[in-house]
Amino acid sequence: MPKTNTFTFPAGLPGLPGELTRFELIALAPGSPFYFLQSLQDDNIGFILINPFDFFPEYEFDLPDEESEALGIKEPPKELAIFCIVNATRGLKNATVNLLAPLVLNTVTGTARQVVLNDRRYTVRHPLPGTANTATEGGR
Amino acid sequence: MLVLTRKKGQSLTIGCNIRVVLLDITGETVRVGIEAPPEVVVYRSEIYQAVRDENKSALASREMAARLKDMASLETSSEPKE
Repeated sequence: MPKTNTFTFPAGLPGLPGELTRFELIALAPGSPFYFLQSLQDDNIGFILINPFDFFPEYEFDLPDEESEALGIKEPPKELAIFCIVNATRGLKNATVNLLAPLVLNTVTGTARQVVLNDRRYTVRHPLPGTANTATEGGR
Repeated sequence: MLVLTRKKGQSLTIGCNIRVVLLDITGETVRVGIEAPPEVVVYRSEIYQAVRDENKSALASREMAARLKDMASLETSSEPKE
């Protein structure tokens, strides 16, 4: 099985009940940078995700060795996928992205972690580029 | 809360495999070294709290995601990126 859409966060996600560890990654549309992370244990728990590099080309961070170890990463470029959580609860025009705590996924084993970076360049709320221009009015 | 007094260079052992070392004390700033197994994650508390709060705040429904999907098709049609 080359790639999985089901991921296990053994440590859970900060702020969520610790038992919620299993999630499904759903692409919203072919070629779209937006994804949805659905809890497989609670229908009401989900996150909108983006591939951060589509919106923040300069985004980079060092994955701490202990995180890499916990994820069982052996060949980083091939096995890794990075996503960031979008907060669109204040409306799409005001959507923000959490660049401080990316989701790091091992696409081979399906193990994933939300990594909290020690990087002063990033916060939990960066405006999502382009949304103010492309989001349409109404619907809210 | 357990309160212990330690001096610079002294340490604490928590459980079997966590060691906290008081490396340096300058004025009000304390440098702390932590040795812990990889499954034990260590964060600055205020940063971890910010991530917790943000995760709770960002919880989304599929309906909300579906609205983004329409927006996403606009994004990707105008500037395809890998």
